[in-house]
Amino acid sequence: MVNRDEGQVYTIEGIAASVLLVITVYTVLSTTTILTPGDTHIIDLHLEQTGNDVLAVMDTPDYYSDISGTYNESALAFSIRTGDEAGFGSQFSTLADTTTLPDHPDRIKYNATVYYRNATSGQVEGHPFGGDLYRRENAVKVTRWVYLDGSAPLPGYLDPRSQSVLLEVLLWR
Amino acid sequence: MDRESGQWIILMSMILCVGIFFLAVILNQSILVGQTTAESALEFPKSDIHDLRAEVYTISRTPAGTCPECFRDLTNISLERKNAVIYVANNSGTWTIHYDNGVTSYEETIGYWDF
Repeated sequence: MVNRDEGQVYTIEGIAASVLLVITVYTVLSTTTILTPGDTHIIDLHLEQTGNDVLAVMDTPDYYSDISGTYNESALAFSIRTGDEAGFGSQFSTLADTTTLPDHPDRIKYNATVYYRNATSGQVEGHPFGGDLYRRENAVKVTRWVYLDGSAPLPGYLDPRSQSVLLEVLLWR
Repeated sequence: MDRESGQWIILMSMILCVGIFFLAVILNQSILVGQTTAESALEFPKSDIHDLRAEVYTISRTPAGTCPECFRDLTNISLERKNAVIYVANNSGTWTIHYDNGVTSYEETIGYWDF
């Protein structure tokens, strides 16, 4: 007689606990799925920063002729002017390599294109500048303005004048 | 005595579940913060502006000291490839840089290159 309503307490306990467990499990599971895009963004950010830094280093002249710092051709401008795709590729890969072991190189892949303005047609045109075959992987794009001095001979696809070209590099792992 | 012990179990389970729930919410929010930070850092054209400035500096160091054709290159190529409006001018030694990609705009007038 005394214990007639004991069951109600246990029923309430069971319902409350199961509802809270379901909410908790749902929240934990949905938290884990959100983790992936956040992670990808941070990796993309890192890769983009690395690529921009590498291009900035390559576009900085190795020396200055005097204290006023007059123009000297950078390694990057030299590669584009002479059409040395292999030289650009090896220097870029060496600088972009984040590992210290020479026999285990980082697997950063790239594909480069030089964009320039054709003064006669007024169009912006692209010229491939070496790299790996891009097959729609998750990639980031880094760019660098490169000044080419018209006093030196330029490759055939460029107008024979001093000009700024845009080097676009697609990076992926 | 035995009749009331169920209430303690309910109370304890509720406290525990609410605690775990709030921890999960905090974890959830922290990942969202990481994503938005990375996104806004990716979106902000820090490198583009650095790069443009370095290019204008390089042009200013050339033997000719200026290059009107290069300014046209910068404007046209950037509009076509980078969706950004760039205008660079050099009037009697004063350099003007204008950059706008629709979200971020940047203006600078340089009288003397000291970096």
